[in-house]
Amino acid sequence: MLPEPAPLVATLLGATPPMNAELLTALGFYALAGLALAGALGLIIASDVFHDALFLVLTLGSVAGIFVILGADFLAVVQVLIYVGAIMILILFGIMLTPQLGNLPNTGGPGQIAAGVIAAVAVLGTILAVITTATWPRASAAPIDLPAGTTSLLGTSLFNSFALPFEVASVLLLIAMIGALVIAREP
Amino acid sequence: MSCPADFFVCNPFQYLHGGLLAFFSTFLPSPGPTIVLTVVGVAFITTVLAIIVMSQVWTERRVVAMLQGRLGPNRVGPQGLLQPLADVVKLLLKEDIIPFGADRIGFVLAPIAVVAPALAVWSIIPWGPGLAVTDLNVGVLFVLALGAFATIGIITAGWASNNKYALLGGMRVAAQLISYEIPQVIMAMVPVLLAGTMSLGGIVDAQAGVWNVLVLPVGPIALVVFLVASIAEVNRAPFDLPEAESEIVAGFHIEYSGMRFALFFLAEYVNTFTVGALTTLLFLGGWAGPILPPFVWFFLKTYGVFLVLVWIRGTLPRLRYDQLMEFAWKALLPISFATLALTAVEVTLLK
Repeated sequence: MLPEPAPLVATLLGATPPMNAELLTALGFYALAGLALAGALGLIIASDVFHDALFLVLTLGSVAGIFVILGADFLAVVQVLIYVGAIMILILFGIMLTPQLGNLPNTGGPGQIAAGVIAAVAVLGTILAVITTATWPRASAAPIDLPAGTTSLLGTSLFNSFALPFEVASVLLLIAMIGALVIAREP
Repeated sequence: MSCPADFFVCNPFQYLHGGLLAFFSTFLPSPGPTIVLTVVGVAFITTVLAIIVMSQVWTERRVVAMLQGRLGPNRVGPQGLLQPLADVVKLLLKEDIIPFGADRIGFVLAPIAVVAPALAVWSIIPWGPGLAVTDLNVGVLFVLALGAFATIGIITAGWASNNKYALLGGMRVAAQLISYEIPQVIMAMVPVLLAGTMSLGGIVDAQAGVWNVLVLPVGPIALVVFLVASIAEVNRAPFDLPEAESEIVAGFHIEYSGMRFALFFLAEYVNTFTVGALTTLLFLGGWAGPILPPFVWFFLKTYGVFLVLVWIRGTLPRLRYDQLMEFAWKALLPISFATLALTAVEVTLLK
C-alpha cells in the first residue's frame, strides 16, 4: 500500500488535534511576545550602539514570528526581508562607519532630559488611553478558517481597492530618496 | 519516460516516512510521531548536507586545480577523496581562540547566526514531488529572507573581532549584499510570475511543459542575472571581496579558528549548494527528467550548477570594489527591472 504523497514530515500544527494546536499557538505567541519585549528592553538598556541594533533585530524577528502565528505569512517574510535584510544592515553599516559613537555620553543637558520625559509620558499616556477605551474585536470560539495563502489577496487589495494610497506612499518614498540625495550631495 | 512516483526506487523517502510514522504511532500518542519524525528529518537533512559539503570541497579543489594545470589534493585516500575528512579532523583539533578585546557574546554567536539559516533553508527545499519537510506558499521569499539573518551574523563577526581587517570585511559584506540582493530577488520573481505561485513545489509543477530557462526571451536573461547576483550573495569568486586575501587578509573571519571557523566554512558551502538548488528549482525544471528517480535528477542538476560556479571561480579574476558596485547598480539592476516588466507583459499576453 502506497503512503499518501505528503511532505516528508507533515507540518507540526496540521497533524495535531485542535486542542493541542490552540495550546501550541498560545505558547508560541507568549514566547515570541516575550522575546520581542526583551529585545525592546535590551535596546533601551544596552549602552553599546552595536548591541542596541542587534536587540532591534531580535524584536523585529519576533514580530515576524507573531505574524506567522496570525496566519499572515507574506507579511512575516517581507518583515524579515525588508527590516532585518535591508534596514538593519544599513543601520549596522552606519554604526560601523562611526566607531567613536560608543564613547559619547548618553545623556544630554537638563533641557533635553525634561523634553525626553515629557515626550515619553505623552506617548505612554496616549497608548494607555487607546488600549483602555478601544473596543477590541473578540474572536469567535469556533476555529477561524485561515486562507491558504495571503499573498494574492494582499496583492489584489493593494492594486485595486487601495491603489491610490499605494501610489501616494511610493511617491512619498521617492521624495524622501531625492531629499536624502540632495542632503548627501557635496555642496 | 519518467520514474513513476509510486515505485519504491523512485521515491524511497516517502516509504521510509510512511514506515517510520506507522512504527512510532504504535506506542506514541497523537502529536508524538510527528514531532519525532520532524527531529529525524532535520537530523537526516543536516547529515546529508554535511556529506555534500565534504564532496563539494573535494570537487572544487580538484576541478580548480585541473583548470589551472595543477594536480590538487591527491594523497589522502584514492584520488585524495579522504582529504576533506582530514581537514575536518584538523579543524576539530585546532585551538579555539577568542581575541583580546573582542566582544565575546557577538564573537561566539556570529558563526551560529550564519550557519543556522543556511541549514534552515533546506527545510523547505523539495528534493522531489512532495519531498520537503514543509512546502511553504511563500517559499521563494522565505529562502531569500533567511539569508538576511546570515548577513547580520557576518557583520557581527566582523565587528566583534576587534580587528581592522575583519571590520573592513564586514562592511564589504554589508554593502555587497544590499546591492546584489535587489537583482536576485527581482529575478526570483520571474519564475514566480510565470508560475503564479511562490511555493517551490508549485513552481516546479508549473514547469512540467517548458522549463523556465527556455521561456524566451526572459528565461535565459533571468537565469544568468539570478546566478550572477547569487554568486555575489554567497561571497564567491569573482565577488569574494569580503575575504580578499591580498587586500584584507581573510576578511570577516580573520580572527576565527578551529570549529568556529569551520562553521563559517560549512555555511558558505551549504549556501553555494542552495544557490544550485534554487537555480534548479526556479529555472531548470526542478526534479523533472527521464528514467532516473526525481531526487537523483534534482541532485544531478544542482551539482551541475555547482560545477558551473566552480568553473567561474577558476576562470575569472576578482573584481575591484568600484567595479563591483557599478556592475550591480548600473548593469544588473536596469536589466532585471526590464526583464521583470517584460515577463509581466508576456504572462498577460499568454493568458
